[in-house]
Amino acid sequence: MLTSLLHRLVYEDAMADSSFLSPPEDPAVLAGRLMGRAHNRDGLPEITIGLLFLVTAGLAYAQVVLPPGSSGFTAAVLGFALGLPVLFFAALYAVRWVRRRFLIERVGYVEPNPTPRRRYISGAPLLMLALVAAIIAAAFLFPFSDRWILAATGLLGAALQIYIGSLIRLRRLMFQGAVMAATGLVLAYLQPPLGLGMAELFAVQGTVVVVCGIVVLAHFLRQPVERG
Amino acid sequence: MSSKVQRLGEVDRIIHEPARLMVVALLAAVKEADFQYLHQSTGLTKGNLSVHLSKLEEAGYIAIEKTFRGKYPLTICRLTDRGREVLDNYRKIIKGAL
Repeated sequence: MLTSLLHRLVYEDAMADSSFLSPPEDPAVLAGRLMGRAHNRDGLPEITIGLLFLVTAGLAYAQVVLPPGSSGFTAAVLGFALGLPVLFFAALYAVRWVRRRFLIERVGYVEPNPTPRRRYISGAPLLMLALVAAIIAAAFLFPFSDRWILAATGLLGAALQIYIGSLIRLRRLMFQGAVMAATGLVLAYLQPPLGLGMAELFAVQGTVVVVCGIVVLAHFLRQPVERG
Repeated sequence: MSSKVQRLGEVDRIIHEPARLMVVALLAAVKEADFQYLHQSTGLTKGNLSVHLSKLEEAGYIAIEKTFRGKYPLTICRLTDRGREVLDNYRKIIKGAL
């Protein structure tokens, strides 16, 4: 009887969310993890992030192959500087719109708390911005070779993905991070020109992330809709 | 035994149950969420979630409203002020003891 009880306990715990196995923790941390997992459940965020990686790769490649000063080159530079941030925010709204328009029966409805203004200028976003600014400044100030910049970009991107993956306990994000780190290191070894190397790094990462997202979305859509 | 650890005996038993803690923690992080979202996020079965929501509603920790969004029926859940107060107290006790 005890064995049966233990089996049921372990089996049901394994089937349920892994947070059951955690020691008592801050409810805010628990909520963050559950929401993070729910946010990535349908694969849509990965598809949009992957597409953004691919657009970045395309714009980086255009700057390599187009003659400087040509209208295409100027458009690629402007797209890189201005278009990408706009696309990033548009993608956030697009995911939300697609979910509410087509997937509400599967993902459910949630209205987030209005974000306090100070959250936009504090914490993780500010740290990321400072990190990116420091890397760009260091790249200009010190004579790093192209291979170092490629390796560092791959490793930093990987660290970010692995950190988020471990935070919300989603192994496929860690896998994507490992792929980015490996790509960065391989490109550093092969030593392509920096622009081309960056384009290749983002293209590989974008493809991996989009494919992961599509597989997750297909699996999610195959599950029957349960009506409550 | 320190007084902070002794205070663990004062935790609200309704919220301390892991499934209900997930629900309340989620509702504290959003303005409102429907049954399906809670079902997806927590991984609880619909029957189990329904029972826990009823207990939380009986205790006055959440408010449940049935409505529609187009043709889609929504069972919207919100944390009440009482629920937020109890969760804050629970959080202080747990953080103090850890």
